[in-house]
Amino acid sequence: MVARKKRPTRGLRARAWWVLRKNKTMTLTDIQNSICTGSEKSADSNLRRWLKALVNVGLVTCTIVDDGILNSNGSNCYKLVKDVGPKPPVVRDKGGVVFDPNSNQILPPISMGSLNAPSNSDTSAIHGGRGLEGV
Amino acid sequence: MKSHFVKTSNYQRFLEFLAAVEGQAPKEGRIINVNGEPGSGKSRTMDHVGADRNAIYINGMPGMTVGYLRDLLAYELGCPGGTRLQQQQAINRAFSERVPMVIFDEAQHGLHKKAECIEFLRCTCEQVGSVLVLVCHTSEKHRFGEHKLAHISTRISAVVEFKQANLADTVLYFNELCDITVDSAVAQLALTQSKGRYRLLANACRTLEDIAQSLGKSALTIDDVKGVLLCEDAMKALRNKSLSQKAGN
Repeated sequence: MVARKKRPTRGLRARAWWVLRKNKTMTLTDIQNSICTGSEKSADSNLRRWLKALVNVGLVTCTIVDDGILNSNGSNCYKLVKDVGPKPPVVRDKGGVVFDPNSNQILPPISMGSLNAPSNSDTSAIHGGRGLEGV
Repeated sequence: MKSHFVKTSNYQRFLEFLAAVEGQAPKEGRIINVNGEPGSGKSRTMDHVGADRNAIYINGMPGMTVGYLRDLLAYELGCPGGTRLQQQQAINRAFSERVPMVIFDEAQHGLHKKAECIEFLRCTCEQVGSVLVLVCHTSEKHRFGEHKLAHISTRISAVVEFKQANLADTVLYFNELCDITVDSAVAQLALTQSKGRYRLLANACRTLEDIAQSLGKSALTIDDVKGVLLCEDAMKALRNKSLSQKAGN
């Protein structure tokens, strides 16, 4: 009997991007309930950091909604406002720069506007040929 | 309350069928129909499986056409633009490289014009042996078996009906997500009140944690929650409230 080829596991952020594109609006708990297996290390803070970076570049907006939990300030509800494509945006560890592998461009923070956006040549220098799927 | 996906009996059954279809069904018959009542976990399961496999997700809508589907597939596979022929060739190439699973939600919207949209997806999937999952509400499932749609119905290799949670699912759900321990009698009470709907089970889980906190306990028995409403359908509660207000007037 031939052994079946094992599928590689997709990254947490890649899976989160998939469900966010499908559902458009989700709380962090919804995202975790859909994609987490319970074995991930600090999935909550990982996703929170990533979503915060997406909010900073205007792909996602964040509002506080009532979660019905006693003594809770509510939970963050994330809404996808700009769907850049099927490949998940990559947030660089250094400086929190967000790279969009669909357009091969670095997304500028919304507060700074496009004036500060690096040109295409700068972009290639920044990601310097590193794997783009490293999420 | 913890937050992660719970592998319920519905999910396990879906995976069994999926493995069987992927491994044994002929390429032209790799279609699975998933149906179920609201709250039975269809969407959550599709989210989990789809995200894990990077599936192509298509949300069915009234009036959708083959042209729309071709454009959508091309966009999702990163090969938009060009003539129809070029687009189809690019889609076929991408399919043969990736062999993606395709999830067609609200699949009943693909049934008009002799199910030409589903037929288009079937042809595209068939070439590389991709699995096509057709998701619909229970009330729509009979439409896939109509005589005039025999070209589709004969190729559906598996029909997976998602059912409301049973006691084993409820116990598993509480064991995995609840921060406190509950016995099976409490699980049975939550199951009865929620009628097996997972959305309401999550509410019951939170209520149980609140009760345990107020009692200073880390485990609850049926005596602690006797007569307590653990969860309630929000819309039903609203209806009851307005009815009682009318009666009061």
